[in-house]
Amino acid sequence: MSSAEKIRKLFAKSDVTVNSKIDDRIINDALTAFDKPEKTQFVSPESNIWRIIMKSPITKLTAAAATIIAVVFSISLLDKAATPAYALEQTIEANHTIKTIHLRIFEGAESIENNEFSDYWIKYNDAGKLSNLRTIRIVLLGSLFGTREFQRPGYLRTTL
Amino acid sequence: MRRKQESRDSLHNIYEQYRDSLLILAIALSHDVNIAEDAVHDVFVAFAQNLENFKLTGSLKAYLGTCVANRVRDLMRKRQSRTKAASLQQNCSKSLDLKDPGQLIVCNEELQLLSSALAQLPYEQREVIVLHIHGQMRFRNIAKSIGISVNTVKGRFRYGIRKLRSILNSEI
Repeated sequence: MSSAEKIRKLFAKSDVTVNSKIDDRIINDALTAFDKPEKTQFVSPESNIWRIIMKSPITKLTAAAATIIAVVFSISLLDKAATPAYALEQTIEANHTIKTIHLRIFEGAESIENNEFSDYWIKYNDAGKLSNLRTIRIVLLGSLFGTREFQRPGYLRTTL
Repeated sequence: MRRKQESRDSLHNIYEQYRDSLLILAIALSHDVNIAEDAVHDVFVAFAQNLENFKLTGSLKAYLGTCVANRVRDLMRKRQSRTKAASLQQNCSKSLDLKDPGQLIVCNEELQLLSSALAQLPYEQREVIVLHIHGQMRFRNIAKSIGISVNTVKGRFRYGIRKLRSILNSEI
């Protein structure tokens, strides 16, 4: 007897005993699944019509074209409706309207602790050119008194 | 309504007729009663869902057998970590105890022997042997269902049988 024949006999003698719980589970689920398609068939008849329409290549192309037009229209509409951002260009333009600037400069952390600083007052004319510059430097003398030092006293007339 | 009831009865009869054969096939392929139960369950549920539009072109037994084999392959992939030899041995050995009333599926001694021997083969060889011998499918149909050449199927069968012979030599 060949090996395949022996194995065939072994298969023929093989047997399983199945508990009724398994039968119930499989049969009930299968019958539920069998009943389901009929119930869902009448839920949305529109979907069938849509499928029938979409079978035609012309309607497919029309639908694709309509979608593209809708997307392009939405993008252009959004582009126009959006508020423009306040950009660097507008910031520079706004700076041109400023006529005077006051700067206070501390040189390192130590100068902040000692309250030593330099003040700058800058003045521009109507054309936006520098017209006057005044500086003052406050330094600590010893540990008790402070004084004012004018590096460039008074208004300086620039030649810009 | 009457036609519907007839279809339900037919489904019930098909299940009664092929249940044991499909379970043996699934156990032989997976060496796991839980996978076998799930595979047969899933196949019957899917079969019932498509019963209205189902058109049989060949043998129903071969069709259901192929479905179960495919489902077993899917389930085994999902539970690959659980299909180690040790756990499998435990699953089927315990289930072979005919006196144990707690087991839902109980295999007899021959099925235990066969399943343990088949579990030592690569899945590809096991699948071909089980489908050809137990499923009574032709090599041509097995090749078509798996998507490989007939010669590959024949080769797998030959190598598988050779290995099974050496495994079962002392047993049978």
